[in-house]
Amino acid sequence: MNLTDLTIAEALEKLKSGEITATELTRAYLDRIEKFGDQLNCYITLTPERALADAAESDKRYAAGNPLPLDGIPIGMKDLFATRGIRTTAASHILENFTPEYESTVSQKFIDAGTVLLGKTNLDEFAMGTFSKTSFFGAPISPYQIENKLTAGGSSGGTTSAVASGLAIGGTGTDTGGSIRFPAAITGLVGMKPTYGLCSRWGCVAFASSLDTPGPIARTVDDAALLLSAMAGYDEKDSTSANAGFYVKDRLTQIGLNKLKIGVIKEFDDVEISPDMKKLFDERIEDLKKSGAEIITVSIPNILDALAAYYIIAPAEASSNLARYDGMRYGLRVEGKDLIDTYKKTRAAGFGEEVQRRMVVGTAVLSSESYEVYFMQAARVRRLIADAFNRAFEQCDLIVCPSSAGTALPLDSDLSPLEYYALDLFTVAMNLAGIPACSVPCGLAENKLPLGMQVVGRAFDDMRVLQLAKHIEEFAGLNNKPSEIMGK
Amino acid sequence: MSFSKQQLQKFAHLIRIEISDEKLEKMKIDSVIEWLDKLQKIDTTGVEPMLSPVQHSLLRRTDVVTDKNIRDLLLKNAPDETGKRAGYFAVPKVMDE
Amino acid sequence: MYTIKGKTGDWELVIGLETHIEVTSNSKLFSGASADYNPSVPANTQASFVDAAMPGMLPVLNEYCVEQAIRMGLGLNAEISKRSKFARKQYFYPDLPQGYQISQPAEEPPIVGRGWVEITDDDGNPKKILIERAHLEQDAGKLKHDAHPTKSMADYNRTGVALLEIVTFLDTKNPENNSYITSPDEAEKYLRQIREIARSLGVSNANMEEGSMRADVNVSVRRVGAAEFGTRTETKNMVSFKFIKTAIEYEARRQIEIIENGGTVSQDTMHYNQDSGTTTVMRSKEDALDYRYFPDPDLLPLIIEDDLIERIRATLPELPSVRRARYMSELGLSEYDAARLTESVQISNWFESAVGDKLVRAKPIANWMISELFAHPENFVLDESIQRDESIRIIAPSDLAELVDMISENEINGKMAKDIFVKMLDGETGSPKQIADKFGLKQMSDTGAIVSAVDDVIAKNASQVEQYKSGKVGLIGFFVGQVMKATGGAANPEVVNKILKEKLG
Ligand SMILES: [Mg+2]
Ligand SMILES: [Zn+2]
Repeated sequence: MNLTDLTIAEALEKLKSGEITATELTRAYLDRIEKFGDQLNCYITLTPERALADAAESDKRYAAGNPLPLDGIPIGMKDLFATRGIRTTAASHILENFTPEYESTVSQKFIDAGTVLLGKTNLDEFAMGTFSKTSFFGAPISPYQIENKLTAGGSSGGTTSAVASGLAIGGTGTDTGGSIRFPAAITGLVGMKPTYGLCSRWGCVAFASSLDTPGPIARTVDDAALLLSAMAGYDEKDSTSANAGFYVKDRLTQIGLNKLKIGVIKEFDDVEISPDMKKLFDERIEDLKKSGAEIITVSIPNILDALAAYYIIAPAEASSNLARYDGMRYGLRVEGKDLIDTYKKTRAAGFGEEVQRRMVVGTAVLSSESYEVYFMQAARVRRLIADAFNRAFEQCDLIVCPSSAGTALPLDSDLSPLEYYALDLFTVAMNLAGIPACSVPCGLAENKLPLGMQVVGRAFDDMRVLQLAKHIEEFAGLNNKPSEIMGK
Repeated sequence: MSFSKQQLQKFAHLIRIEISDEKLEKMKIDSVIEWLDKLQKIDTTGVEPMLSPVQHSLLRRTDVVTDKNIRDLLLKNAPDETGKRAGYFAVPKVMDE
Repeated sequence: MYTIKGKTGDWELVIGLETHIEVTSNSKLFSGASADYNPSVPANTQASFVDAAMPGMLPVLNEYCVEQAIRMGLGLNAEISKRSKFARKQYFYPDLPQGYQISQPAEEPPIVGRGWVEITDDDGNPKKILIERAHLEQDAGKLKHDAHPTKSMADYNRTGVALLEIVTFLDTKNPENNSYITSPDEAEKYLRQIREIARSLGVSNANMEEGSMRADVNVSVRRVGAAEFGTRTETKNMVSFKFIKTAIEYEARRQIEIIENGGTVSQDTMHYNQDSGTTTVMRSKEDALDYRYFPDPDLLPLIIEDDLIERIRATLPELPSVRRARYMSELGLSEYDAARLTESVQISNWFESAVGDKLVRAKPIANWMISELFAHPENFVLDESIQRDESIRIIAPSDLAELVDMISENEINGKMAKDIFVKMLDGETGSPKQIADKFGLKQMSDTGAIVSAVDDVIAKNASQVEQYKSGKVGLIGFFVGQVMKATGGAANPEVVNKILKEKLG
């Protein structure tokens, strides 16, 4: 048996039955990390001692007959979540040596659920990017066709690289404009962006506060649901946290597709996507129809403007959120000739180019001359989009759409900033609206690379989003066993 | 809207990042902002700006002291040892006071 | 009206104040660190991860600070906004860890809207000063500059303590309305009034010396009777009444000189130099910072429920302005006396405890307090917490009540009362009655003894009697004096007067 091929649901059964121990499972992952970790560059910081200690505690609980919900499950934590006593970098030079003395709510909830921490996964610097190559620590890569050095996506590319390759059974991501769903889609994984506010942002390094959404990344929809069960819940330390939870015990319950009204977004028809994506998406729609679902067309009139609205709101919030990285209290400091010079040299050296670009753009759109023209206009367009989703959900139960235009590109693709931004086209609108969306594999393209499609629901309809995603997962029947993707 | 090099430098100054003119040019900020202009043509008259997806109003915390005497933890990551030993965050001398 | 004479004519002043008061609360506005800021607390022991702006930290609003703002708002006779927002004011400074101050900017409705306070203007008439708004915001940290030759030391104990900023209203659409401050004295009175309201409501200590009350002063000038307002300057962070008054006057004169010399005033931010009493330009209008205010995405709109406002209203103590009106209408005090006796809750309480339920005492006690007691603050206890020399004799409200009663019951006269009072100041213990007994200070109420003293004086001063009878009635004072002298000051002057008039016909 290949332990690192087990899903979370399978592993939990074997741990409960005593067939395997948490320590055995953890060691299997640590061994595989030893073997492939450097090549994939999916972890920024590994925590093997912590992992073995967590596993030992877990085994004690199993022996005592009182295991926790995810006891002994070895996970990777996006290096955006503060972990007490463990370096937390946000993949930035400015936080290269920062070790928080507090634990983020999400990572604490995973501790409380009994998981084993393997390490902190790589990402785009401050989660700004789509290929994870803005990371100060170099980009992670996809385990698919490893010789081609394909991107594992971004910004949660470290987690997708680790989970797809079997270097973690599952992990966390954050999704501000697609940072869970896009990387999950191109690495054959399930990536769930929950409703905004369902998972606490406390202790998670902020990129854009009104958009940032922690969520799970896993190999199956059931696993994503299990991870989300651990992560979700009200947090009094986060004023934007929702008084809502999410809970799945072992596996999701099935929903019938008969008479389920599923919307497809008319405006996305005009977007150029790869023939593979189109073919797979249409096939899954056919599957849904055959199972009795009713497919209707819905309109989200300004959805193609979502990208520009997003690239105003997100940089604006980011330019403000990142002001605290000033070299005064923690993190990198480059001494200059006076205070202002120290600030400027520290921040010039500490932030990479993409982060600097977005901060300048964010400052421009908030400046007194353009606040109304850009920032407030974007906030109004945001309202139009959110309202349009609400109206669409009066006509249908759930919406489906592609997760990306095509399969993973080589890491060294030379795209312009705008071409990179365009990769978020299918995902940003859900962040603006704050509604749940799950990317689930919909099949393999001609080039044998995976593609994903999204299931989108109304706010707090996360359960049904995952339930429909589970049907699509079954229709697609993608085999994403790590041993078959990159070997034993 | 387009911004002059001086304006972009002013923005960089506001957020305290030293960027050379050459680098600023290479960053193609103008092309990004030009692309953002497409939002201008959308009619949003009478539309209430949406600043957060959250519907509920602001919750409030009770007035109790929950964090005290964590100075050592606060100072653990401080970059300046002199200040740290004295219980302070040492910063470059502030002249204008 | 207060005016300043220039070379070319008279000028009037238009003054706006932005007053920051530190809100009294256990914990800070958005964090769970202690808000009990004072410089003696070791640095950074009252700071949290939120205050130090560690990565991923988030603000959560303190409900008590909201209640305090509402309380102050009601004290300012103001509207309370049912919905207000918090925004970020962004700039870099080492006393500001987040890189922004969470505040409520001018463009958005603040927690407290339009209101007013009443002062007496320079001519002694009551005047309403309009308040535009009061909003909650975070205080900054403290920097120590003298500890190291090349470094400043940052202390975040004060970072994030709640401030309430109270802004006066200048009705630019109606420049003729007179509901704003127009002189340095009025500025002081306004600030004292704000301080008094804050203290009596328990919202703030509002102590300028301790820095829990600070003001930004906006000044502009215009020719007397001009219809338009002039361009204003802002002098920041003033921490004493005296400095504020000097700064206003200096700044006004500076502006007048500029205009009279053909120049124009520029909307600059000024710095006040304490030693020279002058203002200098700190930041010119061209260099005005772009704070890039935007709604804080970590915080949602603050919705205030009606029943919270009503609950707070029901617990409000009597406000100084209400108390003042009551002193005038119920106790018959003059506006001046009423104002002096409502300068602080402690003074009012002292006064009311001395008056007790005998309202006739009010006027004499007010006189005694204002003309005598206020000159000897060491002898009466207003603040229990202040340690004092045990050898000092404390004059209690009951002492003054007894003294006043002794006069009205003709046991002693005014002169004797003064003597007793001075003896108390000198440390004499015992009640005024006991002191009177001890020193034989007792008014002569035996008419027989007074009559014989009067007869004696008339006999000895025949020529004056002659003059009096021929119409020089002013001499009555002379006779009273002689009788008082003869009785060693113990006679009741009223009785003396009466008998004298009878005898002299
Ligand atoms: Mg001000
Ligand atoms: Zn202020």
